[in-house]
Amino acid sequence: MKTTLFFLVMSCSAISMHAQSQKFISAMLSNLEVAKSATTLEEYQQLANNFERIANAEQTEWTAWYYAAFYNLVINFQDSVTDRKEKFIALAQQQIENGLKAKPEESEFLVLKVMSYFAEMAIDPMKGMTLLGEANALISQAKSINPDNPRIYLEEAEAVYNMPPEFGGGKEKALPILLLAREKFNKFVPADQLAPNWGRDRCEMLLGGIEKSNEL
Amino acid sequence: MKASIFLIMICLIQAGWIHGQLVLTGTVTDNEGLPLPGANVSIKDTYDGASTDTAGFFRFKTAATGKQILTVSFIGFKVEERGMDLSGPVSPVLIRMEMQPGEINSVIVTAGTFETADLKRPVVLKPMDIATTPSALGDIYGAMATLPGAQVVGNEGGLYVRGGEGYETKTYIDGLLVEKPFLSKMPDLPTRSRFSPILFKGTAFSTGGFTAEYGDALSSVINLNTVGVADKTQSSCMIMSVGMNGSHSQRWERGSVSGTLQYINMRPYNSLFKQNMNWARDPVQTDGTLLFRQQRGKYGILKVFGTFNISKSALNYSFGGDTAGASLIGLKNTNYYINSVYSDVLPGKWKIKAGFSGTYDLTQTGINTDRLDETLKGFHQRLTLTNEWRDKMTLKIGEEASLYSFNRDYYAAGSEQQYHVGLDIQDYAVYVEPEISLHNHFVVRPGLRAEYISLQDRLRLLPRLSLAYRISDFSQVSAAYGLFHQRPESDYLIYNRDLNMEKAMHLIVNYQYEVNDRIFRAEVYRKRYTNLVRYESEYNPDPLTYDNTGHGYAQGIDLFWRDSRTVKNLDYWVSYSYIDAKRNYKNYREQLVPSFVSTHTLSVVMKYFFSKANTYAGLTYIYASPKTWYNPALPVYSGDQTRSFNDLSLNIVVIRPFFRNYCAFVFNVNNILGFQNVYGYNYSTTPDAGGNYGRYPIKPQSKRFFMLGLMINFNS
Repeated sequence: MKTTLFFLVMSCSAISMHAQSQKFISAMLSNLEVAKSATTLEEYQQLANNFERIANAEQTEWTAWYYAAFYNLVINFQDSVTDRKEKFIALAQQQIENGLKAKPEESEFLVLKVMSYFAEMAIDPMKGMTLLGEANALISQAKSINPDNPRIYLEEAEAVYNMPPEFGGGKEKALPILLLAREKFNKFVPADQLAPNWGRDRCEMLLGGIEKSNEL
Repeated sequence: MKASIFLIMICLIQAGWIHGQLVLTGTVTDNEGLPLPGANVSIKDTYDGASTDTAGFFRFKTAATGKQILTVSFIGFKVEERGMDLSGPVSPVLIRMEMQPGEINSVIVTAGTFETADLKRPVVLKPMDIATTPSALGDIYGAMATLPGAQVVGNEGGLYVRGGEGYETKTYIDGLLVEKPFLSKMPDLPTRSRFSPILFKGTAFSTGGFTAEYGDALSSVINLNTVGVADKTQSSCMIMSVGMNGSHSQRWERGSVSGTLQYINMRPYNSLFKQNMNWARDPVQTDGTLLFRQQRGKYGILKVFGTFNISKSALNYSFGGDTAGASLIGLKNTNYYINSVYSDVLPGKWKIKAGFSGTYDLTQTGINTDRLDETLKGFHQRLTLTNEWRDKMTLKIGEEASLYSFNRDYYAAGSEQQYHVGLDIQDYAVYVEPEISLHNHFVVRPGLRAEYISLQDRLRLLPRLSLAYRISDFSQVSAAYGLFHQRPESDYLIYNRDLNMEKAMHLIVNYQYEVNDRIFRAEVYRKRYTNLVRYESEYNPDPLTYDNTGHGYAQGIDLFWRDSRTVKNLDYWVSYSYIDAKRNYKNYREQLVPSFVSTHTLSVVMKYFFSKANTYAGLTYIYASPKTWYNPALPVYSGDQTRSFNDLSLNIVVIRPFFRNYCAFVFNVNNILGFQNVYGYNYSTTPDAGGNYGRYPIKPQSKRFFMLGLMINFNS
């Protein structure tokens, strides 16, 4: 009897522990599924909030912070009121810092940080003075942590792509970086089903744009 | 066996297989009761929650039971937590969110500098706007002068606000007094701020009706808030056509230290471009700043700010025009300023802010072979406590003490000290100012300040009152009233200590409309001045003739429009001021329009970003209608009109990559169109052969001023 009881208690706590992470995974997956069809600001706001709630309950799960920050940056890009845009960026940056506490030195967070700097510069280009240098430093740091993360190269290419040729940017200069990013995307296998796995389409879109302009 | 079934039950519950699902509903609003869509509502430490819809409504199911905490968060608002008992059905909850107090990161110009239940920020200039306003050439006060209410006084500099003189504007850094915020000035030449605009993250510029926190100022108060902990370790240097500077910030876990050194020498520039002045020694200036910041606990931060500034110049100057021949005026100024503030949150939600500032200033003026030394020592200490009771009331109480000493020593050529006069003042004040929300749309802020003035051994009470009423989501009206006073200038007080405080009454009504990066403001005001210092003649400053019989008034309307939305990458603002001001003070024989007043002032500031070229271009146009000057020698004042003042200034900032870092080229020029501006007149003290007293125009230092700089940032 005692053994039965012992066994029962043990298996139950095992189920319980398993259920905990199962609950996390299924909550994350269902939100990621919703994200695939999200297009409006309201939908992105809901996603950012959902991920934030999960992150708050599971302080040690870095992916929840990652997507919360990611969708707050998306909201910022969609919103049109400067004052609010700045606040969403600030919130995303805070969530990136929280995420880095859960998983220090995660190159995906450095990529998000770079994105958040670009978002700041889009509002106030004068910030480029300090933030461009900082973004470059983050890109190098991310590469040294995980040279196989394709999104680092994608963000690097975005910066070069959007910079005028007189400043050492332009489509031509971005092309080799994008090709490298494509190569990395082709080899990229996400660590698990929750790990970030976006950017392929964007990379192909930018490459397509360059090819088209070369044909003309 | 019963026991094992029970155990299994527990395990099943634990595993989340059996849930009692409870439905929670409610509404989230801002502090004015307006719905907040997109707020994040959740049961703490669970995934259960929802986002509010456009009506601020939320609904979600939860498996949590018993005592739980409901948390609500939304950008720009404080996180709201509420204890809930989920043992049984729960009625709908109403959650009212409070605005985040946040850092003041913007310039505020309102009737009484109102930061009340205000979702939208009032008139806003960002720190970068101050640094990049073309007409200001990096001078904080120059940028403020593009806001309505300020006058253009090209031969003085500083801030002349609504019929008030330059000395009637007091400067504070983090709430602590700066005795000498301006560089020492040469006659007829404008002065500038000692401090670089990049040291400050925000500036509150009050054109009147300011709060009970501020005492000794008749017309205006400007409070500069220093930056917090530096973002990162980095260095920068700048090479300019007039000098160079370098700075470094070192960041650690919870603090930072930043230092700046600057050297300015006008000699190369002055030898290249024609000067209207005859410099015997071109201005040279060395200055430095040191900022130290350390966070402590959850909310505590200690800020220490220290600067030094040493400048020298010499000018061949003709008093009263050129009839008297030129005198050699030498100027050497040494200034030290320290400011230290600690702020924290005490138990019981009391916010505390305590600090002191100290000034030492030595101005040595040589006139030919004579020398005048003026030594100023100032100490200011302040303690403020603030408490908020929900969103109904905020109470602010505080105390301040200021010690001031001023000494003047005169040395004639080759002799011992000729005379010494000095002045010592200790003033103390306490103030209390509650801010009460009587209604979601209506806020009242009565304030009272009690001051002990040592010179007169008297206690004075100064009442203040501000009101604000929100008409709609985008507009509000506010009003401010107050009694203000200020010590007469030391120049007079040092000879006659019986002089009373100069007094002013302000009455202001303000309307503001703000929506989506567009702001419109209109403000009407009426000011009455009494107890101003008067004396018989400028040339016979017998101390016994000084008295407090001067008086005057000012009334007018200020308009402001800013729009950073209509045209992409274009941000512009337009200020217009109409003023009707007269005074009978100093040596005036009747009530007159003071010489620093222009009836109409217009300024337009435009900034455009060429994104393709990573280039910023800024343009400022300033117009001021003619000013009236009076020849003191004439028995009847006829008044000489200057021509109207016009200026068009341009600056261009080009950002370029520089190895792994970035640099910026800065080009700045004022008066592009070469307007022949005349600020005013000097009058000859002796009549010419025809018995006329000649007048000599006061002109700008040079027709145009160019500035070229290269700034490089290094990230470590």
